[in-house]
Amino acid sequence: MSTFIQQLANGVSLGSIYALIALGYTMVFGVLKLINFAHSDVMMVGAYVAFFVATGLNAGPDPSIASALITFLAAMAGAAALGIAIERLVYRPLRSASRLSLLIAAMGMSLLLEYGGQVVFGPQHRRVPDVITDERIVLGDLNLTVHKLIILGVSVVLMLGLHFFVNKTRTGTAMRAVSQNVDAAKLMGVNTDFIIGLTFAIGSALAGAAGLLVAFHQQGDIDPLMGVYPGLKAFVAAVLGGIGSIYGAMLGGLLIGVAETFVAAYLPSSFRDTITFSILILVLLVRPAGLLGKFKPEKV
Amino acid sequence: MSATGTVDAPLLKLDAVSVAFGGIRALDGVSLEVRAGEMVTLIGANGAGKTTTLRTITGLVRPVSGSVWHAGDRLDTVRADRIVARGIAMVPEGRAIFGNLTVKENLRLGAYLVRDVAQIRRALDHNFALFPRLKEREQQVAGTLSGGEQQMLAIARALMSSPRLLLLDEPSLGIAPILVQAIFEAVLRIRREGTTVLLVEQNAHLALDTSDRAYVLETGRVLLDGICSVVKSDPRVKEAYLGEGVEVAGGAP
Repeated sequence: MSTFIQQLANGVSLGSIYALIALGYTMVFGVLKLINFAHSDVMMVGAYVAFFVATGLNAGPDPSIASALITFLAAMAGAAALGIAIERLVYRPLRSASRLSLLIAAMGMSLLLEYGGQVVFGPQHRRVPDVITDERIVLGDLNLTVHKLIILGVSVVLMLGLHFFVNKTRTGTAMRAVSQNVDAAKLMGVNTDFIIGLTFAIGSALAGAAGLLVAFHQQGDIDPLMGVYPGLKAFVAAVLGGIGSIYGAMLGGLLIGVAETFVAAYLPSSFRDTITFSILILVLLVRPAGLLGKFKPEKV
Repeated sequence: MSATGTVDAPLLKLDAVSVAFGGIRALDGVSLEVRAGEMVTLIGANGAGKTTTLRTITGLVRPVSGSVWHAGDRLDTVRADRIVARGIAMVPEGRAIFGNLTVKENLRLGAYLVRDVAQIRRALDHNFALFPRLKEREQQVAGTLSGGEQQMLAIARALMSSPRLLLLDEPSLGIAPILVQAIFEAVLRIRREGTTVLLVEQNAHLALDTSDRAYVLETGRVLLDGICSVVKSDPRVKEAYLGEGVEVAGGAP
């Protein structure tokens, strides 16, 4: 039983990272009907921004709440800026082109960031200094760490913030309107280009935060290809929850994180990635619209 | 309502507007005018260019030649999301309500650019007086409304910006006859209250009975125009759109 609860805690912590990344996929899909394959690489860039900022702040030998906060905000801002630039320079000029062109551009952008990242940052692994000292926290049978709690806490705060923004603000309502009908939103006076750019900015900022959280999760270890697997899994999470649905992405992320952790705990750990993609195949066969999804698959 | 504009320019004017989609001409030199206070209808068969005309006015489609004018100002260079600020609102074809949003959220989006809370309140009250059903369903998700209620919502949403010119695209399409009547009564009331209306309608009887003037579109061109009573008695209109006149004896379409 105690193993069960322990694994559940681990799974929720990992799953909340997937959920943060999945939100970016699902939000961009909502407004552009595009799977933004470069999204996970934006997360990687966020992690590198965190690496440079934390190193510059000398946070390793001298961790503090302030440097942690600055590192987080810098990772989010850096990723947001990159997300806006990609939308502006690559996707916007292609908006009237075919959906396939857009998809190919997204794949190209992803490869550019992954291999460009190796040129710019170097192919070797780096270690993001601990902006907050990691310590073991023992609650009865439960073994937690400060970093795991931070992963969970940051994710919850960001997701609550997103929930509030999307539902309670005028701009958030406009964003939901754009994801349903771009032309009708324009007729209401909504500047849809601005909303689409903002969607990229928010999704990318969440990915930037996730970049630092992924580093937390793997003891600070980052590299230019670090986005590939978490990105794929977050994408599966978004599909599982129902692509286009914000709450679906949150739910899907948690489920994938928990499923993976349990499989790794009770089965040979090499099955960990297998379970994620088995879930993807199962969802596509049984419920292609996802758990909370509204987008019906196109009949060809 | 404000007194009739002193400007002589019509509220809306299309001057030889042509629109093409991938080389196919959807509009071919369409000219029309709507004067302040008028209710004008645009009738014609499917594919005649009625919807394209409205989408051109609202900037969702750009003309390849010709120009659109609003109260003397050039309109066809204005971005679609800036049109509503000029006092022009459109009820799009197929209603295009935001189905996942509540009725209230849909209405608030109609007043997206209105910053004055009191004005939004007044527009809401006015709409609920016009369509009491919407008041009952204020918190309901719009996608769960019936077709007729969705049409009411689409009209109410357009009115939230207190437009001077209302563009209506096929408000009777796919709606129960009893609700069509309610919707047209509302449109006539909106018009009496001073809003200028440009109505696109496939139900030519209904359109010609409720409007002042009509333009008949055929394959992207204006076939004829005039006062509704005159247009109604034109043999071509009788035959093609009102289902009267010549009995079909031969096979000619």
